[in-house]
Amino acid sequence: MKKALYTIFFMVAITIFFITILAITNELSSKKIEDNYKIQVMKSILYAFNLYPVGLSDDKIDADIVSQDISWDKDELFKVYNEKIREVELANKKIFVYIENGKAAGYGFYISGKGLWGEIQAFCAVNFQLSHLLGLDFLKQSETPGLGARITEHWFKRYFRNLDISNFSEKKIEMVRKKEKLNTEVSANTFEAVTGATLTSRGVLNMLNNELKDYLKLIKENKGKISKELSL
Amino acid sequence: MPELSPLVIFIASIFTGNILLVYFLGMCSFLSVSRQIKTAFGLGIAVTFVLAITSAVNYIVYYYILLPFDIEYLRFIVFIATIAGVVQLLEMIIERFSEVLYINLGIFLPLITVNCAILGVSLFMIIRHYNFIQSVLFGAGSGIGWTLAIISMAAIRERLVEKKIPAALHGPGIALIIAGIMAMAFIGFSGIVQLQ
Amino acid sequence: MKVKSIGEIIIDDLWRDNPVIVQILGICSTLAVTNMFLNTLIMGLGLTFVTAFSALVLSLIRNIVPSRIRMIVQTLIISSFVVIVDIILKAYVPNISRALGPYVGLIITNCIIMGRLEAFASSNKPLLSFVDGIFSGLGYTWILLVIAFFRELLGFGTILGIRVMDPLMQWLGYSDGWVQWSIMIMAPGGFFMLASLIWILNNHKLKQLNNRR
Repeated sequence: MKKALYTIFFMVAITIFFITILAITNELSSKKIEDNYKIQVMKSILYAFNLYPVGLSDDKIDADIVSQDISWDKDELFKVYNEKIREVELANKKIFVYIENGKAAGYGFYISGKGLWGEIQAFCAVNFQLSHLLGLDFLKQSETPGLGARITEHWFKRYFRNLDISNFSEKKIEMVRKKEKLNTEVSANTFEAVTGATLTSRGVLNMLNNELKDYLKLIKENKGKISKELSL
Repeated sequence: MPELSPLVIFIASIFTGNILLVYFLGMCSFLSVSRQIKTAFGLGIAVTFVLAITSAVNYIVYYYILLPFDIEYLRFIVFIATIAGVVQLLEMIIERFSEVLYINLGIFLPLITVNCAILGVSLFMIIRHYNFIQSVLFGAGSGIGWTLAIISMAAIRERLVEKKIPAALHGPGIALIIAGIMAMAFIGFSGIVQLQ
Repeated sequence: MKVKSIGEIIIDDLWRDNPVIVQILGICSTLAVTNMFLNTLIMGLGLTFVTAFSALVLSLIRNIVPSRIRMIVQTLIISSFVVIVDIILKAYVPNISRALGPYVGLIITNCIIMGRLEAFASSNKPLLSFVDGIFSGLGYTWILLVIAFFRELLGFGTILGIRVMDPLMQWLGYSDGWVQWSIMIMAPGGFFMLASLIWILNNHKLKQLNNRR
């Protein structure tokens, strides 16, 4: 009897001990983690809109870099973001607007889809005419490192710059095995899949083709409303 | 929550989404306890038992305790504590009812606790937003799939005992090669059934 | 039971009783992680750290843990450690945390940690347990790094991300350059590489045994 009592007491005590340490660690770091996440999101959004810190651009950064590792000076990051990005809400969805020279130059929104291991969350940016993608960035994914996770690398995301969606209702985005030229050179409605990660790549493809239609329609019908709300 | 029939999830998790041969979870015991069909079968049943129960319990704990109280970050610890508890229970049952199995499993009985397949299944069911029935059938199906894989491996290895294999490949070496070939075969199944 | 000396522990963990090639533990992560050298390094260091300190903590309380709940206590220690490390990394070095992120679950369920705690730390002194933890982790890490080196080289054509095979092939006169061995990037590649490594190392061991006779 005494042994059983001790066992239960020990179990409860050690569980409380560890959970307390965890809770304290979590409390102490949660603000920092939140701030880090905010900065991550800002970097993502600016990357999707093809906005870079002074001196950098699409061809100057490493092919396998992820947007979180692009070196932004913290002040410059906040300055550029606050200057050029605005947020509005349409039909309960957040729409981001990229402002250049006092006019709307592009729109952005969150999309999500299913990868091989779990959900993929991305931020998609389109140009003002809604005819081409400006860019894409991934916020959350749990794909295989070295394979599916390579979708977060710059060389893959470059395929989405200037991707043609002008005839989206008839001609959806397609995935190809090898693409000779980037869409910035010859614009088409295709991107190149990651070798050995067909399922993850297809997850990205389906995510785009499923989510774009509604957002494009929503923005098209509300362009005037957006400009008015942001006093453009 | 995906519009998938729990039955589809059950069947798919046995074959096309086999937790061991497609997602490569649960390897350690797969390679070490697959010399004899009898032991492999025993371990397989044990793992299925643990999977079915822990899927159910972890589902309830996650959606009714962790989320409402905003302590979602404790999910790793809580899930694995549940698994450890169930395995401890299982150890007591096996020790009582089958000495032979208990001895044959050796250290791999407590190691069921850290069988990545079990934690993996609990984590997957959360990520894929399965409901309760889907989760339990996913757990049971994954267990059966794992059992089938380990029995297949044991069957192949029992037949190889009389054949000539280079001395240095005996045991884990040949098991890995067999596993590699089985894995290649199962790559053909990927994507046939959408599990999410 | 004779208590091992530190030297014996080190040799056993790194070679004679190597967790991966002799005890066949830690295989899940071996397959998942070794398609890239850098990821393997991060995983290996993370695992070594967690194994060492979990062993230390368990060894310190080994005499007051009731035997019926020892598994739950072990998993509690291991997973608490991993989650704490994950939270601290996320807050202060987010880019390393992002690299380690997918492996957090794989470290918690890594049979090596549990195996060492059960087999060694639960019945040995803290210092020895700590050393055993470190070198079990390193024993795991070096085997994986060897596998990863070849998998990345043949699968991606790179070493630590630097393109090597392509230029090599070009230099040797093959104008088409290097074609990736995709099988090396996927799991079966991991199986075959590990099998080859075991084959080579076991051959070596058998020769040593034969020479001694």
